[in-house]
Amino acid sequence: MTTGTRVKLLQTAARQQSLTVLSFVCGFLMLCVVGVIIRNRQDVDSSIRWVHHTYQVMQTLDSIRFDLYQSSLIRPSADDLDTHLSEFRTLTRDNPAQIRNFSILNLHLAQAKLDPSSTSARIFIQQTLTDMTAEESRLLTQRQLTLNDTRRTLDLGLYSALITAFLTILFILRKMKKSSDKRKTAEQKLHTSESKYRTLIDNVSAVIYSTNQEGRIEYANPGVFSLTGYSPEELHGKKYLFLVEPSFLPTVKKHYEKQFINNIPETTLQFRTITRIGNIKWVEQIALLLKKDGVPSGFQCMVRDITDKKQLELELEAYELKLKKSQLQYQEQLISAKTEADDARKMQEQFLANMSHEIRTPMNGIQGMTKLLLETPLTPQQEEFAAIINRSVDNLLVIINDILDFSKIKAGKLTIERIDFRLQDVITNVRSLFDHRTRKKGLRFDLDVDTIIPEWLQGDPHRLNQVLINLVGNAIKFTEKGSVSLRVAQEQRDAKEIKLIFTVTDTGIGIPQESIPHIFNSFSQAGMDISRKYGGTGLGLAICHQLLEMQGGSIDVTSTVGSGTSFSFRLSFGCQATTNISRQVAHSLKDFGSLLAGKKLLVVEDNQVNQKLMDYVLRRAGAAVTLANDGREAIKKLEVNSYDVIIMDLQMPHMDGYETTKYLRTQLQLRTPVMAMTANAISGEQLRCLEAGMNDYMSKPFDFKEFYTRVADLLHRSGSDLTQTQPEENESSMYNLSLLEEVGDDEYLQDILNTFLTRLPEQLDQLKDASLKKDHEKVFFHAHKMKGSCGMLQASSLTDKLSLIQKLARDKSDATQVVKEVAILFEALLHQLKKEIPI
Amino acid sequence: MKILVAEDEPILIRTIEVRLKKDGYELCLASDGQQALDKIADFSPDMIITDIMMPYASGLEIISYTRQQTGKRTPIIILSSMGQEDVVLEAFKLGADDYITKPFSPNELSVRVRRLLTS
Repeated sequence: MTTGTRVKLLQTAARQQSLTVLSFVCGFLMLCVVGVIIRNRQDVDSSIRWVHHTYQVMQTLDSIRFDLYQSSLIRPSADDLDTHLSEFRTLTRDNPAQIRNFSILNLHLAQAKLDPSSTSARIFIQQTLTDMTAEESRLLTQRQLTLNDTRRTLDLGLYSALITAFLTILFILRKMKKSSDKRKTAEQKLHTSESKYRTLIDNVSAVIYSTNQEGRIEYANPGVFSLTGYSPEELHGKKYLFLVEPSFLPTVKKHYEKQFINNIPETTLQFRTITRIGNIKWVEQIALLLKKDGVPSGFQCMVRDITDKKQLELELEAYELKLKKSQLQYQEQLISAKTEADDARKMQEQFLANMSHEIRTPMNGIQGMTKLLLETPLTPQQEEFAAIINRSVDNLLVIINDILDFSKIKAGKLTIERIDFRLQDVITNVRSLFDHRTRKKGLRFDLDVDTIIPEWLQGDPHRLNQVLINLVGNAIKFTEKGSVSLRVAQEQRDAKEIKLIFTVTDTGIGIPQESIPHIFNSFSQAGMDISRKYGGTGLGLAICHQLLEMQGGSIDVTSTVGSGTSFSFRLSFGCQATTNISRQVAHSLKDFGSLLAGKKLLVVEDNQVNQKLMDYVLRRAGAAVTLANDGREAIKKLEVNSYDVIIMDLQMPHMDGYETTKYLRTQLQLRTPVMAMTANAISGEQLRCLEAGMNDYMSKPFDFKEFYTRVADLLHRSGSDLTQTQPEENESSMYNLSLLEEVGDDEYLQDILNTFLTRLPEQLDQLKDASLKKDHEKVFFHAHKMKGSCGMLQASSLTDKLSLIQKLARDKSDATQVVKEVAILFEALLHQLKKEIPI
Repeated sequence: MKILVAEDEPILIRTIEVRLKKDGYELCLASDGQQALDKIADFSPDMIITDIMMPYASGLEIISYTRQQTGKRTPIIILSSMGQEDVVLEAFKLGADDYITKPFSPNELSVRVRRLLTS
């Protein structure tokens, strides 16, 4: 019950109470009025009676007078007189005045009787009669007045009673009308709302129906027709279940049984229904549990046709499925595209490496020959030409190196060295490299290196050189007049480290402000016209940026269009360099004149230009040179002759450098130092060389001074080897049998080693196979197993590599290269084992 | 005393076999995980030495089988490799008693075995 209705009820109750009180008051008033009227009426009656009485008395008096004066004489003894007198006496017995008069009259009458002629008596009688009449007249007047008064009061009472009654009736009538009006309005209202809901229920698109506890339909609104095709009358008394599509019957039945049993007030269920003509429709039914005295007695249901919605849902679902499918397809495409891109990238890297090899080999010839040419007596003009060739080759090498470096940085294969170097050497190199160009352009080249910077630093001189060449080269390239300057200042220094700031400033064309953020991107130049006008790959600054980043440095640029650019970068170096004298040995080729005097060297090289170059270079240092075109030829020569050092190219037809070296180490049992020469810039190459049994490694094109130093080094190191035949120190660490020897059983040891020698090659094959198939899981497994075995032999170089393979496999990276290295190491271990232990 | 050795690497299994036989133990060898599981039931060993990575069933499975299925407190030694520290930890959680890292010293293994069997 709402507060509103309660208030209304209270108001009604109060009104009824006041009505009762009012009725009481009215009734009381009426009673009073009636009482007053009755009393007045009685008063009027008694007044009338008294008036009447007076008239009677006066009549009697008249009769008496008549009796007395019938005759001219008084006849006191007339017949009627006594009757009249006694009547009078009776009538006036309550009036003392009349009683007194009457006794006086009687007295006079008695006198008259005695003396009928006595006039005095007569006069007296007459007098008394007159008095008596007067008295009665007075009384009459008085009584008539009283009567009038009473009458008036009665009238007043009557009037007021009439008015009150009228008013009461009026009031009651009004009340009655009011309440009847109210009832009428209420009825009307009820009627309106009822019809409204009725219309609503009848016309609503939803179907509303109710069932009894058996599920028989008791009421259904007309809407049921459009949903099911049955009219409400047809459905009356039928079980609702016959409308449910058969496949849904068990579910629906179970659902409502559950609701009924568990007394759940309201449920919503979606199911399919079947219409009269057999159409299937999806509906949503809200079922309210009807209760009678707290016990479920049936359902009140509202059904909504959701076929369209359901259709939409199904379509949406199908669409989503399709979408998912296409997404999956798209994903697959993406993956395959990515794989392709990766492959393409790998191919590109491979291509770059190959190309670099192909280019470097002839470049080596050009560069070497030019250098040799410059050593010969030349006319000044010839010397100038040769110098130009030399510089051009250097420039070309810079470009090739740029491309290679860039691809190496991208592949994460570029490593930063940390070696001792002289900063002055780097600066001088940069300066001399651009000397000619600045002079030609008429530019001033200012160099300012802070003198407090130590002479020797630790770091990567090659990378520093690269960055400086790039920046200075750019500065010169983009400056037509004015100057280019290179400043090196110390920014910070402690016991171990020094932080330097390098600044390259020019007065050139400058870089537009909006281009500055992009200049460190690869293949980006300040504008398309720049590359047309000035040339270049657009890689230089990107490489600088990357190289500096890799060394923990940073680069900044400030520029004003038309007035110049300034690049500055900060780099830290070690400043505890230990002076390496050997690097300072010579400054000219001429100093090596007798370095290799009397030494026999075998050069294994398939490129004729390089053969010639090598031949010349080595002969200059006093060596006796024998040439071999490939590995086979070299072995033939080695079988019959002995040499002090072998210079071995790695890529050769028939038998490459690795095979040849392995062969001469294992089959020929030669310990002659081998220097590998390669144009391959692929990382890991050096390691492979060392593991194949080579002693040093140089990449082409090479620096003559460095080459001489290294060869001399090899000769020095192997000097003792040649006289005392001990196993190479680097090989003796390949394994250690101490763990196996602990068992203290020779037979067992023999057994184990045999197992090792037969089992490991099998495992290696499995590992190779798995790595080729990129089955990372198998790679991991086999590497693990091999590690177990090699571990017992404490072949740490092998186990380290195997651990690396495991790591790569876990990262799902390609391990083929490392597997190859393992194969090489294993080969070496096997060789060593066979040699040292008689199995 | 009977010791079950589960290890698929011949060199290792041979080493363990020879060394422990010298100490007078009776040995039962299983060259993969499944064999090991079978032999735990048939052989009821006094100790189990097991590798972690093996075909068919891993060392961890062998530990949980021993502890949960048979409910025995048979001492278990794990043969682990460098880099398998987390697996060793897992093995201890499952109920392993000791571990030895490959490559191992056969004498050390012998000491560990004896210590576990006498404690």
